[in-house]
Amino acid sequence: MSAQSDELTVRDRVEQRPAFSLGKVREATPRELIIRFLAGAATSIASGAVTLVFGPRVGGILLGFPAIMAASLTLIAEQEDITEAREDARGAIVGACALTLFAAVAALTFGHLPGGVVLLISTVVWAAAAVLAYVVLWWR
Amino acid sequence: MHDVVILAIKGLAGGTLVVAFALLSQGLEPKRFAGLFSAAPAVALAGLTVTLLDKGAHDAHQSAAGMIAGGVGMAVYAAAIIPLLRRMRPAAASIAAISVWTVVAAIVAVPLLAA
Repeated sequence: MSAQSDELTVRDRVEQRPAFSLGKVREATPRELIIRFLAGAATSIASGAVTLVFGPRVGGILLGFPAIMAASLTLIAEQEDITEAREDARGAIVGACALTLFAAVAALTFGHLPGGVVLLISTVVWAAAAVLAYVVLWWR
Repeated sequence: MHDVVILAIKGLAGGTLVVAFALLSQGLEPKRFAGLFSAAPAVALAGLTVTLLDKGAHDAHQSAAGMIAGGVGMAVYAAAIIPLLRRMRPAAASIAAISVWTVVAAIVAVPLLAA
């Protein structure tokens, strides 16, 4: 059976339990880290520059630019395989929906709560929404 | 000069947070769960924190409102790149998906900018 026909679809639940491996983190090469740093730095500077020219609302659009994803998916597809990159992207659909919720919560609460509290609440909402959606949609 | 320094701080903070979330994502299994963290608000946390400290809550609110359009675009980017990766080389698929992000973010931004 080919790898493609074995591939899960977005509707399939995932049997493997989530786990974290420090060994896999140590496999990251300096080249990968530099590519990711440059992707993040370039997006942040672009967002800041657009804000200076067109204002914070337009510049804010770039805060949702897929900087990590664009760099990571290309590296995963090159170094592991396309199937793994496609699985990463399926998870990122849910992660990005949660990121939109992060932005909405931040937009609604800035000015009403201290800034640090807004960022903390928004980040907790993002993480909780992403993990909850993963469990509901894909936990077997 | 002040603007250049702020841009440099945003770049440094954004790059560092993207690396941090990317390493977290790299250590996670299965890949679909790791993908949640590929869409982490790394650039947003860096940008909003610096904006908050430099300009205050009003500009941070405006930036977060604009980010809603980028977030919707990112979800469509992730959905679009899945079939694209089967048909194209990874770099070409990523560029094509970024075009999709641009169109979707622009469409969603229209009512947000008018509000």
